[in-house]
Amino acid sequence: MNLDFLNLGGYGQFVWPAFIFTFVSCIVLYVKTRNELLKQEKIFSKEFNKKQSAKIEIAKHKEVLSASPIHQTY
Amino acid sequence: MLGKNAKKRAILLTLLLLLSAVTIFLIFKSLEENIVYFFTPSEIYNKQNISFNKTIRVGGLVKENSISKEQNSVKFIITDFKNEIIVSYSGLIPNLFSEGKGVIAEGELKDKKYFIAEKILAKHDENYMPPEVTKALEKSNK
Amino acid sequence: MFKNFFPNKILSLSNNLLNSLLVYLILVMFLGLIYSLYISPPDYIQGDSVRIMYVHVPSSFISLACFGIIGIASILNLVFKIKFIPLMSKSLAPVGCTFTLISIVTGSLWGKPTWGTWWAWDARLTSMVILLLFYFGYIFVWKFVSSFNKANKISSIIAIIGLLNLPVIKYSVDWWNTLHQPSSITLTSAPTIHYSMLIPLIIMLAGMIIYLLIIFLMKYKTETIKFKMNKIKNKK
Repeated sequence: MNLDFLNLGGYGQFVWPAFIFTFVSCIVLYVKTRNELLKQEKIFSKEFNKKQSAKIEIAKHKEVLSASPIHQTY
Repeated sequence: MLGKNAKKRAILLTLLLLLSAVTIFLIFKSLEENIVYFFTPSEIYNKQNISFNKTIRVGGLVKENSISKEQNSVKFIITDFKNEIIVSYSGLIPNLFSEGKGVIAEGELKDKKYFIAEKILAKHDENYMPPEVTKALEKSNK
Repeated sequence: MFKNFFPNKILSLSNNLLNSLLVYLILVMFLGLIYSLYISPPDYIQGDSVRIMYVHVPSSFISLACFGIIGIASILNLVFKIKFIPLMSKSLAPVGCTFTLISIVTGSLWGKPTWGTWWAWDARLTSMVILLLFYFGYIFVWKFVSSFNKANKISSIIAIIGLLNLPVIKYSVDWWNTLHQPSSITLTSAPTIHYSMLIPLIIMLAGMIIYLLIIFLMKYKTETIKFKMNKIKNKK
């Protein structure tokens, strides 16, 4: 019964690789994207925290961060 | 709503898109012979200046009751219900090759009615259903 | 919900949202796998090889849809020059590209047992390879052109030209003789797939769309941070 399921009427050698390829690719892309996000978030929060002592700096900083209206052209 | 510059860009882009669409259409039109993957028996029947010693592909349905197997080779008829071509072939046959189903043969034409295939591909249609449904359909058709 | 996509909002995208999406993804995929590998019946001609359809068709659909969005966004981008559009379309590219690759590989694995060949240069398969090349081109331009404005312009033009390839892919099976079969699901007529096979197909599609959303949100946040950091650097 168990072997029957794996064999899938002789088509298992095509069906399983197709599903495995799909899921492995998706997992690889997920891990890559997540690691990149974590890295960037770290850089971002570092930049954000670096100047927390200097209040004036932080005010400027916030300005930079939020001074990007959506419809602004570049 | 559109700014002056945005309007200009939109017009330019539309023109560009139209132009490339027309170009692509013309390229496809002139390359049609190369884009089609196979010819139907009728297309071969109607074709002028046919090349007999070049590898081409013929496709259609396997005619009912036309498959005859000899030791190593198989003969069958490809039909599109208007014209037919007799195909002879020796080699591996794909699982889905059967009478009444789609097939594509790759090989050389000997004459307009006779084709020697080096390779056979099965072409299936867009219908998917479980075997029980097919049986039920067959029953209701009888 | 959609206002979360704007640059200033995406930065506050919490891990909670991503995590709950991930939970949905796992649930839907689990159900999808059980349906597509076990509950759904084999096909009357193709037998169990038809199960490859449940990963092949949704990934093909998503790869086309992603490029369609990127292409249309690129037109809007070039015309209106709205800043967050390139960041968004850039974030859709990797996942679209991955699904194109999945579509081609699983299609090849499906072709061998059904057609009798891994590959054929028919119109459908060839135009899918061209789509993959357009994805590569689009991604490479973003990667290797260092000026944002330049990369934005070139990649948008690539995407707009690639947009013309989409109807070719879609209608290739109707316009020319191809080895690939015509579409089973169309807007105009009833699907030619039995409902017992349509269910796993739809579940898998839903799962892949959730996955797409997760990857897109993560990538979009990454790109927004990068963009803002660049801005801070340039101001100094």
